[in-house]
Amino acid sequence: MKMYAKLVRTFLLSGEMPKSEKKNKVKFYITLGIIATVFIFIPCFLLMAFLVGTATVGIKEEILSNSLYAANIGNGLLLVIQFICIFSMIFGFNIILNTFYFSGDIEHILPLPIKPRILISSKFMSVLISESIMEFLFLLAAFLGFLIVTDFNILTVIISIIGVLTLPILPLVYCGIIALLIMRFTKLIKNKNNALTLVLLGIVVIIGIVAIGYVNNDSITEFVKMLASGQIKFIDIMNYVFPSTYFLVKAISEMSIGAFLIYLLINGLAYIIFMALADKIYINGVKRISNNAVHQKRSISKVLANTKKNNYKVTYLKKELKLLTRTPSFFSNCILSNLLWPIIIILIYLIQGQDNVIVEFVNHYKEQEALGLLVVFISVFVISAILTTANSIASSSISREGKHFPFMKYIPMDYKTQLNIKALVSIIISFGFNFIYLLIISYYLKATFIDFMVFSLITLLSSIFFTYLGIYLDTINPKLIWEDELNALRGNENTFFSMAISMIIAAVLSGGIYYLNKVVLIPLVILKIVLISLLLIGSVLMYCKVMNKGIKNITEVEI
Amino acid sequence: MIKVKNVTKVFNETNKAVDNISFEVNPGEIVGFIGPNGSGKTTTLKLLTGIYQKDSGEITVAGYDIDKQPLEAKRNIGYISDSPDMFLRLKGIEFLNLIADIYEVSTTKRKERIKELTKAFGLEDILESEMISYSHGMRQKMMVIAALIHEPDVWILDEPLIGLDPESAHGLKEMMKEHAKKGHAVLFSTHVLEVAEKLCDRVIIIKEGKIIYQGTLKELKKKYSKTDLEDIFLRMVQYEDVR
Repeated sequence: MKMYAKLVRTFLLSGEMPKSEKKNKVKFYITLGIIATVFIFIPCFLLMAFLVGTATVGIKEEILSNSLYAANIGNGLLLVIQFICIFSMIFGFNIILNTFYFSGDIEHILPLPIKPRILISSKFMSVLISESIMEFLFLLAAFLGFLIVTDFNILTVIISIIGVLTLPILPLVYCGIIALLIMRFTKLIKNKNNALTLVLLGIVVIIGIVAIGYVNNDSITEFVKMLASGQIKFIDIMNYVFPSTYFLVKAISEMSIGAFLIYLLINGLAYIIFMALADKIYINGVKRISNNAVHQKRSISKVLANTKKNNYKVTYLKKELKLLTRTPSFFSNCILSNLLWPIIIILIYLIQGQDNVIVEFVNHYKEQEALGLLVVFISVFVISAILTTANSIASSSISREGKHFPFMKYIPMDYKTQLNIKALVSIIISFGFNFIYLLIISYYLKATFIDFMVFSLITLLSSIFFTYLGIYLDTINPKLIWEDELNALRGNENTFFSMAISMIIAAVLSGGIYYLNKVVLIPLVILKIVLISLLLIGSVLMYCKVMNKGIKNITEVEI
Repeated sequence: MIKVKNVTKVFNETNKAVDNISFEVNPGEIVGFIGPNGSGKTTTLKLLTGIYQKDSGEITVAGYDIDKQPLEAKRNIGYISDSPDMFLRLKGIEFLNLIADIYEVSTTKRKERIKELTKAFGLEDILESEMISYSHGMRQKMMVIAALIHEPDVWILDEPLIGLDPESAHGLKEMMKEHAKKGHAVLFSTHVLEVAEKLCDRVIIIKEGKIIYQGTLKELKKKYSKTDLEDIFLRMVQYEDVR
């Protein structure tokens, strides 16, 4: 047990972001943390609690007025926690695979006299703790929203607390079992090649299709009615996939000790199966990776035939792009993550059914009505802002260097050029994805050429501004010490703060534009010019900040 | 070719990793940098290459001040760091071309150098593979090739022989001698005293950030009236007062 606790602590520490030793930087991070908490965490927490609470009230009324099965009162909560479990699997799989098989500590730990199940269980626990903090918050909000509007008592509160802490176990156990089986019995993932990403993408696509396929195309009111009558197919299927969710909600909504015991039993059994499997096949899976080194042999004369001098800036840019696309963790988090946007929008579109707000705004826009024009304009800006920061390319551009950060310093290439090339990588990818989406949306909306050009300019400037913002944040305290590449992004506060700031800026500017247009009655054309000017000035200022303070920060970083 | 004058480096405002050191490496010289773990060897080499910023003192490399003309100074340095795990997702040839482009090596010259160096280290046939598939030793060899591809005047090598097989280690030592013969300079850190004895014109011994000896090994042996270098070294690092 002592060994287990020590290992968990060690693994948790190795994933942590080192704190800056400079007081002003610590203060800066604390300020950002407070801003993020006030503007992001608390609103998200309240929104989740509100959503579950409102849905539960609606379901309660439906049940009472139509004398439906009383236990269905928990279906709103059930749906939410099932979605949380799905996301836990999507994000957890890559982390589990990396932590179990590809982290740098494996080769040092394996020769030690530690049983595979102790090693795996401690790694599992470290992932559970470090990865589930956000999940705990969302679960806590969901349970709180439910308890407030129902007749809660001490028993349901205790069950809820235990539920919040233990719900992430089953999705992560699934990820662990899949990882163990893939690594032991298949050749899908060798040497961390991109098959790893393909597996992840496969899971995302399958779950996306399942979710989209089973979300019914009806209005919110109808949807609540269906929740009350227990007719959501998606929930039925997920009850089989994550039976723990069903029994936990049953335990709370019916105050059933029996259901709670079954919930604990399911988690316990799943964990025991996982551990037994790990004991049998984990080590063999690890050995298969180390035996996978294959060299592609080619004679030197053939290799050198294509070798020629190129501009060093172009070569540096290619190096950045190659590392981003060939490193699975970077590829999935920084590039594939951009593909999630269409899935999210389609999901929102489908969930809304006949009272579809998106369709409504699209129609408004097509008819050139003021509200439609305003909302589309704001949406283009908000999506481009959040996409640029959510892919974390800019905010991890220094962190991704890791142990070879000194390379940036000893080569005869100034920091200004290096940082600008890193910025260009982020702008190319962020604006590239934004532009493709813009083309599709503009075609769908039948946007005028001028609108298309304005949207393109906003998207480009937004990509530039938020790229330099991300790079600036990453120069302050880059996360350079990590065991595996995924760790460069996981728990990287710069990435989180960059996204939080983009959300706040997007919210403030969107709110401001809406207010100025609807209340002060300033024409939209002027507001578009104002936004473009603001983004332009912001981009120039941010560029100057990176070129001055950012370079100074880089000079001071020493590992 | 390397001039270090009264250089000090302090970490966290209290830890003096390098304490007012001064030394020179002249053209045609191979100088060994010796000292126990944590004595300040790697820190000094990192100061010379611009990786770390000194708190005081002056450093010039190939006649260029590392602070005032950093790019010119860096162009003349071939540096091997203490970790060979660099850009492992790049293919060997892509890595070498990256370095050659950064140092602006012409097409003809780089082809010649890559051919020559990969042959010397036995890596000719695997340049099309990603470096993640290389063994530790192969990666180390790759770092050596990359550091020397632009034929720098000054070689600064941090434990360059670690991880190399005997044949490659011998090859590198011969290259160091050749390089010095041409009137260039080599400064390298090592723990292996035999290597220092066979290779170096002079040695610099550092302890707790201070230089406690610099000169030839012959003079050192004479000073301590001993012939065994290990004995002398142990005595120096254990008993020599650095204050």
